[in-house]
Amino acid sequence: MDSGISYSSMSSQSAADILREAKKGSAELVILALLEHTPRHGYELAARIDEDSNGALSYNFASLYATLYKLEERGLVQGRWVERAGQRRRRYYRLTAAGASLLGRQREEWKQFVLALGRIAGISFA
Amino acid sequence: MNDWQLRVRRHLDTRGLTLAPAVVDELAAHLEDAWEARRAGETDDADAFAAAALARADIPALAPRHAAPPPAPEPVAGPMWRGLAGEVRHTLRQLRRAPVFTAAVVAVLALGIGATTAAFAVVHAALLAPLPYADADRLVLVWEHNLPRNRPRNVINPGNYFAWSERSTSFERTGLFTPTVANLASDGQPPEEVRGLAVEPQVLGMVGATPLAGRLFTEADGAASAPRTLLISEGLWRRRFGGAPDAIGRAVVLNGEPATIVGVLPTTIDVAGFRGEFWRTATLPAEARQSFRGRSLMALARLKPGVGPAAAQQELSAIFQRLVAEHPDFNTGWTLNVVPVHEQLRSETRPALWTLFGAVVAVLLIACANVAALLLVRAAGRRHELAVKVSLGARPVHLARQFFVETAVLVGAGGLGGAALAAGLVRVVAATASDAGVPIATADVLDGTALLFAAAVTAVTVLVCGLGPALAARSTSAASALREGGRGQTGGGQRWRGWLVAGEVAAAMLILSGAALLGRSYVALQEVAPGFNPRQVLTARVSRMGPHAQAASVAFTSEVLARLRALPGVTAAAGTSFLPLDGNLGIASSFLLADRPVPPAGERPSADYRPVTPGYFAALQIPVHAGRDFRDADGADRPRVAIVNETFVRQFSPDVSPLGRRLTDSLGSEQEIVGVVGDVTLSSLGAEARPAIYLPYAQQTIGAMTFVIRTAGDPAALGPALSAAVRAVDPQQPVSDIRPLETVVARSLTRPRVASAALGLFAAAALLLAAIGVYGVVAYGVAQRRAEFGVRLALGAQPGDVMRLVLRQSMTVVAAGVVTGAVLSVPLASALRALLYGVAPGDPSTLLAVGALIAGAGWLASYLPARRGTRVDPVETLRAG
Repeated sequence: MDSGISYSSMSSQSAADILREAKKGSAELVILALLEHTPRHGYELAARIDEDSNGALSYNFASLYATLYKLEERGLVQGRWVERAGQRRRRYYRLTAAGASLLGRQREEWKQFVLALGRIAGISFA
Repeated sequence: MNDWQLRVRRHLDTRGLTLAPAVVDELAAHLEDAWEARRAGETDDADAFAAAALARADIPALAPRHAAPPPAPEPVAGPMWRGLAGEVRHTLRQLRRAPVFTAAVVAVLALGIGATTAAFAVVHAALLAPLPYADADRLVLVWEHNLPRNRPRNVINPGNYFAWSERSTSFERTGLFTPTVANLASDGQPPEEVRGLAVEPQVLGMVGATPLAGRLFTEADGAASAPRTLLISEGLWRRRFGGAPDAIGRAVVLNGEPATIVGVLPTTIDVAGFRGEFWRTATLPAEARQSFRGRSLMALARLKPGVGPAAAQQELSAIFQRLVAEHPDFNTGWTLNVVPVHEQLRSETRPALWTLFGAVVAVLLIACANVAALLLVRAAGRRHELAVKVSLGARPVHLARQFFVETAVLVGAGGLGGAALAAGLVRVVAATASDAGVPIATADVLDGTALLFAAAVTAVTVLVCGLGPALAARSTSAASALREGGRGQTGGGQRWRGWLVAGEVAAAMLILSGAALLGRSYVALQEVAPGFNPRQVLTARVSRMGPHAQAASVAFTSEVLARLRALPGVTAAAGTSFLPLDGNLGIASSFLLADRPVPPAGERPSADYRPVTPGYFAALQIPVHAGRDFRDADGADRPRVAIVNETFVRQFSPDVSPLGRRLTDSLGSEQEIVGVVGDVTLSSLGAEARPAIYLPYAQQTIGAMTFVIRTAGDPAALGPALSAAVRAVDPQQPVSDIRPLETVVARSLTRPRVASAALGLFAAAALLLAAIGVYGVVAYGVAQRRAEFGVRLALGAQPGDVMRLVLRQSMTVVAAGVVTGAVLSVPLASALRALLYGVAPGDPSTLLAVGALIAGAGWLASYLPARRGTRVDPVETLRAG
């Protein structure tokens, strides 16, 4: 299964394959993290991901929504249509308690994973 | 819907995908945000940027394969009608994209609904709509019923009428009437024979007649001593009096007697189905109240409120038992028969009209089945789309709704077209029905009721056509449909289509067998020998009405015949009081054979009485089997003679020669039988021959006379010369109904001809539609199985094997339909029994022939697509697979 996230900065196809497999589930982490403090709508999520990753993470927008719907079905996020004066109707997603708890666990796992990678492959990150 | 929602929908449509409206909204909002952000960056590629994002959108990622959960409960929550308008717009867009499919479906439905509505409108007007009388259900006709001769609607005797109408308590009013013809002369215009009614004054009020001008009859008009008064129809008023207001009060001559026009009635006024151009009062002499001789009148009666026809019947039966006791010679073997007017008017046409209506409904059902099959094929092609919807949380009931919306749009268009078509059809049908003797006012046939019916048919059609696809949609499983990759082949759908086609074939079998039975009856009727030779014979009627002395009438007839025989090209000329097959049943009476003991009252034999001139049998080429024809010498002052027909001899003189035997008629005169002639069909072709007694016109003179002249050339060409010959003898004598005898014979077959032609038309439509149904289902099946056929052919199967495989499957369906239709047709055809002649319902050879015809059509309809199946290129299919 593919998370729908592609890494546009990768130069080699095989490396991208490896990373896609290895970082399976990263989309969930990214979305949950961005919703941790603020409810956001889909476009805002996509824009923030693009901006914060300096374009390194780029989502096919349909896949983004597929992931959102999956998270919603699992009760990790909750969507709600909001209509504000002078604005078009948008669907805002917020983190549920279950989502917040999963986010904590995923952060810890990813941390361990990246530390391991850093120790073994000599990758360091800020 | 904003621009981006439209663009997303279009994007989905072009890829055969559908997403729940909420998802579309969200994707559209996203793209719009992206577009606005891009534009704010002051670049001019915002459009292209957003469009590229949409083009790259990984829509299948939203499909269940990726276990994408339903976005939210929006599409399922809320009432069923939420989003309906959008659904309709969506459907319209999709249908516009499939113009051939849409046009075919709408045309088939318009035809089916239009024909059904037109047929219903006619049936409604002719059988169901209330009659144009006030309290029509309280109007009845009272007939005398001859029990031994099984004649339940015999005209009545005045003495009996006055007796029962005075003793009965069931009726509010009763009145006598009788159809009549009269010669009308006025203002120096040539005299004219007109048909009308003689009525007691109260009768016109009983049927609710209101005069357009002048007044109705009063009781005083009915007195025997009163001056003669006359009401005329609007048609006669305009034709003969130019619609002049002063026609009221004008003096005319009716049957040689002066009469005054007192009013004008609408032409449409009828008395229990009897129409006329004039109404005169029926004046019965005082002694008629005590007359127990002869039956010639009709009685209309209005039941008291709360009294049903059955109660009236019971009372009249009891009263008539006393009348039998009082007049045993005249009334034994008789009783009274109360017939509601609507029954009288409608019982005869009911079987034919309901048969036609049934046929039309069956055609509509076949059309529905075809449309349902088409929709099923379309549904199968859209399984992928459905699967995506299911995965996005659409409940089966919403998918079913989508199909119903699509069906409703299609059928609604068909219904509108059908109503328009019905408006035209109904005129044609009503005109045909009126030719066949079923008078229908075309003006108001397509009324609110008929349009309501069209709407109801449309609604039912939506249900019938939409049910199959909707059920198929309900069973859509997302995973299986997606796995199939949109190939859409499902055993269930194919089975549905098989059932539909078998049903179509069965319905076609029903209609076709009915049409074949009626067609065979019509052919058989045409082949019935009428007992005379109608070719090259011209006929014309003169009615000698009024105070003509018998001797003068005989002299008039002889003089006219002498002139006719002298006309060039005339080979024979004669006259008869009642022309065969003219619709006039003439006189029937009981008689006694002088050399036999007198049978008890009620068991006396009876025969048709026919006054004819000498030379009548020769002119019509009716064979004289024994004895002689009448002679001019058989005059009023000579011994009375009679000629009888073969049926008479078979029934009453089988062992002894009838020649020389003596008859006594019901009026007491005695005749000697001097000849035996062949049977002639008098009432209708195919009717059982009845005993007939011919009398010389000079010895039994009645007013009616139809001249028959056999010609060497075209009989119609002699019409003017015939009129001139009559006028030369009596300038005041009108001549009417100048027409060849062949026309008279052909007209007597109008009803069976119209019925078989109409049913034949529907049968052809049914056969065509059923064949299209078979073709469609086989063609679809072949298209679905191309890969399988390719494999079979690659593995060494011969094209013939593939052909046999396809044909075997389709012909199994056709055979199932034919057998079902044949089984069902037997009880249904029994309903046709009244319309059949010379062929039984469920006639095996007819069923076999029709079955073979349908099987042939089914085979042809299967063969064409099956041949395509044999032309599959195995290599290509294997590569594609």
